[in-house]
Amino acid sequence: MRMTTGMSIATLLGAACIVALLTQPGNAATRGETSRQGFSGGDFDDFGSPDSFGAFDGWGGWNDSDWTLLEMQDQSISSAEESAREAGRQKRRDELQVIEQKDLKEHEAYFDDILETSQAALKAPRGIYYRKPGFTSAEAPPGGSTSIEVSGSTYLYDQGIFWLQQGPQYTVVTAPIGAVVAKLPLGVTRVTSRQAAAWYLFGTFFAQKGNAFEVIKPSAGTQVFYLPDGYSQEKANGVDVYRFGDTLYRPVIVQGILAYQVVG
Amino acid sequence: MYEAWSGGFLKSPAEIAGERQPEEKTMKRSRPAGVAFAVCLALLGSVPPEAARAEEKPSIEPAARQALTAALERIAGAKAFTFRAEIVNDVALPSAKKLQTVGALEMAVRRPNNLFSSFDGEQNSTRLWYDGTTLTMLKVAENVYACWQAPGRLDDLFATMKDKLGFTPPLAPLLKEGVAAHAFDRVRTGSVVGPATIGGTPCKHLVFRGENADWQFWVTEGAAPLIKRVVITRKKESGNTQYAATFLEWNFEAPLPDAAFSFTPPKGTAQCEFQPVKR
Repeated sequence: MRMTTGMSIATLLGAACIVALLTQPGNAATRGETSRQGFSGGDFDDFGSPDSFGAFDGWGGWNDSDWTLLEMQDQSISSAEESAREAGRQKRRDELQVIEQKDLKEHEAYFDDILETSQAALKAPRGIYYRKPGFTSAEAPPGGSTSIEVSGSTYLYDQGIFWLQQGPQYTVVTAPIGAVVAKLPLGVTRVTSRQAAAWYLFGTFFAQKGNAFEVIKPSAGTQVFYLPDGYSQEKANGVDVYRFGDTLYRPVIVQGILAYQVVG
Repeated sequence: MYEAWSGGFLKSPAEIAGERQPEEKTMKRSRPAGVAFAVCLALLGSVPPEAARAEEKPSIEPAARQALTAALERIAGAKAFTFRAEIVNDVALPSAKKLQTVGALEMAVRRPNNLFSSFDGEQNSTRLWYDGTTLTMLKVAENVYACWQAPGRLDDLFATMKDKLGFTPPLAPLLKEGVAAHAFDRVRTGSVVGPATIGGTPCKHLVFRGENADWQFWVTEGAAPLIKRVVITRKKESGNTQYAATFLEWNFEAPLPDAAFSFTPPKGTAQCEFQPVKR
């Protein structure tokens, strides 16, 4: 048979394909067979060996991988700590909210009581912190209260209210004359008196003393437009008067407005 | 003794003193309605004509003068009447802000010398009785009352109250016997603004301007004119605050027994005094 050039080329190509097929590494299933067929088994047998990592410097060595792990672990721990701290903060926020809600309800109930029993306190400022003398609490006044020494007694002062610690509890008392506070509490109103300008809040009178304010005894004739809850009503020389602490007030109508005037 | 009228209009002092008042907001105290209206008292009749500025001749449209005069004459000529009004009063706060307070006013007048006033506002609830000799004011919520001996006619009472106590009852100028005769004594200008409707009732809107205040009236027309609304602008006050009264009901036929104008303090009510104004 006479061979043409094309047939020769095709034959050569076909032989080349066969050789190529025989020399393919193949898949895992055929790897062994292939290696058995002529390739070095050591290159592939080591691939799956546990010890083989040490030989692969390209991974950066054992230390490098540990550092990363540690860093990851460290970040994980920090993250966990931060989460725990945030959980703690949230818990505290929730607790404060509960306390706030409780305070608000207590405050509202307190003023609802006033409407029933203390008509002279009706025009007292709303939303201003107040506890009447005699109020007791097992807890100290909230953080932010200051200690004030007056005539040998130590008072805790918070938002215009004075407390005395008596054993395990704290009791609200009328403001001690002579107590000095750094600034006027919220809710004060200016009052006119024979003394210098004074400020009034829930039965307590303040006058400026340098850069601070001192609790003073009000002068006779000083007029206020509400009394604090906790006053008592009585008769003095046949006249209706109101007593709060050591101060006596008599009601008087001034230009159509009801006021309470300090009695000398 | 109150049965004849308590069910329809007015209540006895004991009933009123026993009422619970709505929660009152604590705000800066407002000028009492009577004091605020004292400007109107002065402007509507207590100053003689010669106090007017000589260089400014009053200019009042005849239609405006006629409409208001007719309504005022009806009030001045009535032997007895009652009315209910809604009050809106501007309060100027120290921070230069303005606040409005609202209140309900009921009044009963029996000439020459009987008066009852009941006011329930945001900052106070007050009752006034005058039986011809004794004026009594009751602060309802605080359960405190004061008495003052002031024999005389209503016009004398108002003048004495203003002079000695520093306040007058709400809308006192409208209650004076001479209100129609002296309404324009201190008015500089007056005109008809135009037609208006208040509570479905056609009215004529009038405006009068004085030195210290401006007044606007809404009056009905016809044989029995009524004042439906009055607004006083206090021009000397910061912010030109206003006092407004919208009259919901007038009654010139209401039976008014003596008991309507006398006060018996309920049990537990504290007595106090009026503080005289220092002159």
